[in-house]
Amino acid sequence: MYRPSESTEVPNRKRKEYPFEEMANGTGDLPDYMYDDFAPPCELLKNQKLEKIVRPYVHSAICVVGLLGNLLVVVTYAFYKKAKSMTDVYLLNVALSDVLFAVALPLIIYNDQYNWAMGTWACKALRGIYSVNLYSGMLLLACISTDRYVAIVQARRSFRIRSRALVYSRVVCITVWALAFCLSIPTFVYYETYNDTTEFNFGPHNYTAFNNSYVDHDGYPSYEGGTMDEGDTVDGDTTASHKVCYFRFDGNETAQVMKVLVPSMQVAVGFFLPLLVMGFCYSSILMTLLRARNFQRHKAVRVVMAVVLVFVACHLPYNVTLLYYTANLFQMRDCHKEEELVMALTVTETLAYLHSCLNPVLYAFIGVKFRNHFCKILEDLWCMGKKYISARRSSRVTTDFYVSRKSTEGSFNENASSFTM
Amino acid sequence: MAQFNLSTVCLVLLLSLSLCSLQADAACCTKYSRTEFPVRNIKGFSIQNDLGRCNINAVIFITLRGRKLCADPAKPWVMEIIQKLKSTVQNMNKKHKPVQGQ
Repeated sequence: MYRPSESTEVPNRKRKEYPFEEMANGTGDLPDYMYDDFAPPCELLKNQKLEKIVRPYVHSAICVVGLLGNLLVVVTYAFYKKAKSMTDVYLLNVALSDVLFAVALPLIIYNDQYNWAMGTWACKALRGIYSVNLYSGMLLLACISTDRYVAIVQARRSFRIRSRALVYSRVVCITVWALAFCLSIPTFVYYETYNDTTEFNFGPHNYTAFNNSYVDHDGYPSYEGGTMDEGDTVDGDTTASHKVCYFRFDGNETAQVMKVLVPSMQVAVGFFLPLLVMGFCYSSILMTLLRARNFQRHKAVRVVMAVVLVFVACHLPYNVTLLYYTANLFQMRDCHKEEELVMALTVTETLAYLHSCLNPVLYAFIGVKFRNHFCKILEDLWCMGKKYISARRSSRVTTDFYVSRKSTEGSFNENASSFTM
Repeated sequence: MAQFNLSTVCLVLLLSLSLCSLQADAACCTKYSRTEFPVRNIKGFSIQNDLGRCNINAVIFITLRGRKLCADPAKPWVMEIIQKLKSTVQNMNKKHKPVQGQ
């Protein structure tokens, strides 16, 4: 059909005047000084190289560590520690949200590489789950800070509601998840898989046509054909079938509004709101702690500082970059500027992902009680392993190696214990 | 039990991620060319809209050598090139009607 004819001499009379044809050579690059005059589409090659390193190594490591840590929290709550206090319910929900996140992220990355073979519904579902967990995770961290605030600063009042604490915390969690779902509705609705229509490749052995294109044949006898359809390829090189999972809108206005609204909501409700709540609660807690005469207060202060600093360090860079990018979304900019911005987003996003595997350490494992329960799991596993090995060695069946250790719970304050290192 | 499931999940995750081979995303225009270019250097064009991944509306011209250049659809010279390309194709269809399908 279409034969590549890059080698054919072009009857170009005014070559000198249009140096981009000379420079271009099909694959070469324009010299820097010409980028102002002739603007090629921005290919973001540097960002692609960066993603090639970050996605398989860093993101997978974060997912594996996050999954391990958060599953341990879930398992501890499921088998060894009935979620009794408000903090327990919140911690369990944060862990669940992080687990879902750590499952959805590799699936999204995998599908991005393999053309979204799972289809549009997988695209909607995975992106939606990602968004729901982003919101619920952040809002639950704010809930934990309010819970600690009530327990420590408003200690007297907290005694009154302690009896109904479980009910309250469940209602709060359901509300948070529902809110997270509502905020993710645009993602569920507008994410789709589609062929990237601007994708075309005019290399010497790879002629891929695209939508809405007319082809001029002047001086090109070897290019035969009229208008071409999307995905019309030669030499079997099908780059046109590359599918992306991204926003797709019907009208210009919806596109303009939603493209700004969705990331703005993410920054406002998914970062600044929890940051404000945490800022208020933890600073009040710090004041109370510094006034108190408790030998453990220094440790508690350190825990509070760690929680807040890690939260800010992980999420502030990404949200600031995202805010800046969104504010300038529809503005013209040079390709290297765009590339810098997109690379900044890639790096800071990775930092934000890191938070999901730090949560179990910062919130659950830092608490003395939780650590005790966790140690029991390890002990029991160790016992089980030993029994298993000895059973295999002596080929004797042991039946009563499972020891319940529920009765060894201490009697100190739940909330204070989650601060104690 | 839990430990076994966990390690399986991790293994699957690692495998699926290590299989990643990067596929190039389509490039988007982020600004327009300032200089006009003559129709004789243009082979075809594509349309970029802001409804999907890209954020500005643009016409992407493909030069004879296969270089892609972004142009402002609001500029009259851009429409001129498109009209010329269109009429070329129309003439060609008249000439080659018995040979060409479509």
